[in-house]
Amino acid sequence: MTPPLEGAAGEGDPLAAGMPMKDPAPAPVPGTAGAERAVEAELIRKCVAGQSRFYEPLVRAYEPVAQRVALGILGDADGARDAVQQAFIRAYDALDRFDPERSFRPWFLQILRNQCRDELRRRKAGFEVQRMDAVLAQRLAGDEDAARDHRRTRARELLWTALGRISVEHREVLVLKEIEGLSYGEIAETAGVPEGTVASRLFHARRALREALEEMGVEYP
Amino acid sequence: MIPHDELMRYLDGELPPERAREVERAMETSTELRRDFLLYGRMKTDLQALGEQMETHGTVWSSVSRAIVRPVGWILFLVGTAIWLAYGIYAYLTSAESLVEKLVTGGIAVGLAMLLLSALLDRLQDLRSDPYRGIQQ
Repeated sequence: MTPPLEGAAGEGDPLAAGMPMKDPAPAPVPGTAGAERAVEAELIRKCVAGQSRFYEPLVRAYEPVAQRVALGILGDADGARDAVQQAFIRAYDALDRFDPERSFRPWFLQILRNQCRDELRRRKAGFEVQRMDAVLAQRLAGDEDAARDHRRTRARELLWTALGRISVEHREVLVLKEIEGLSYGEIAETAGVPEGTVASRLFHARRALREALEEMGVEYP
Repeated sequence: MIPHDELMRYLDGELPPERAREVERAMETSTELRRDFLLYGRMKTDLQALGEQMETHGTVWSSVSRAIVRPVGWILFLVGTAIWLAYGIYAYLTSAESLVEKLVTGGIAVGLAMLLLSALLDRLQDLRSDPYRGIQQ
């Protein structure tokens, strides 16, 4: 789901205030993906025209998604933050090549994915498995749920460690599918592969994760 | 026999209903398929829960904004400096000062510029060959 562009519809915003638009397209239905895309396209058009302040709503709308994806691929919060920052800068520089008929999300995630790969190549150490409590918010559970929650938390810790042991290609596809909830079509667009390849890649990724868990000598709950 | 890709599509809700029913029928007779489905399904749920727990730390907008604006600032500064320098040199050369004074002042200015440039080039070369430049504090 595309995140809402809160900044774009805020008070005092020229877009919301009905600033004249060049080449007006048929009005999309408010609240739909088409409406979101039209707002994005207009923001991008203004950025390309040199008004960089119109980039802020896009950054604010997509950074939570971007931080989760980068964290899933890189494994540490600081590296993820740097990658997200660089990806937004790279995306801004490339906005004039963006096709407004496309959605911003897969296009941006493709840039972020490349940035994360560059970062992994640069650091050589690869995925840095940070302790889960340094990365994830801890949820407090009631006493009666504590035992069950402990089992699930342990399972997630194992998965988090195992994610660091599989290839970046497999990790990417799992992050995009499971953590970000992208459809096969969106993953295909982001990863630059045919949609038919996504199912196969997901199978190999899940199998690799399963094998990594087995190699760790633990029983996945 | 259900291919693995098909099982993945079923797990992710990407199969049309007719094909989904075929997968369900196959699972009724295949223990292995059922076991895989349960395991991958559990992984899926746990990975989704991981994603929900991931914290995002503040906004990167201020850093992005600074990085976007910085090149414009540099361009304006360099262009302005170049114009002022060119105008200054022109004004000095066409002034009524004596030729000797112009030559001496010009020599000092050119010498200083050459020293500054060579120091900058050395620094740049050091930065490129520094084996620790990728290490953060």
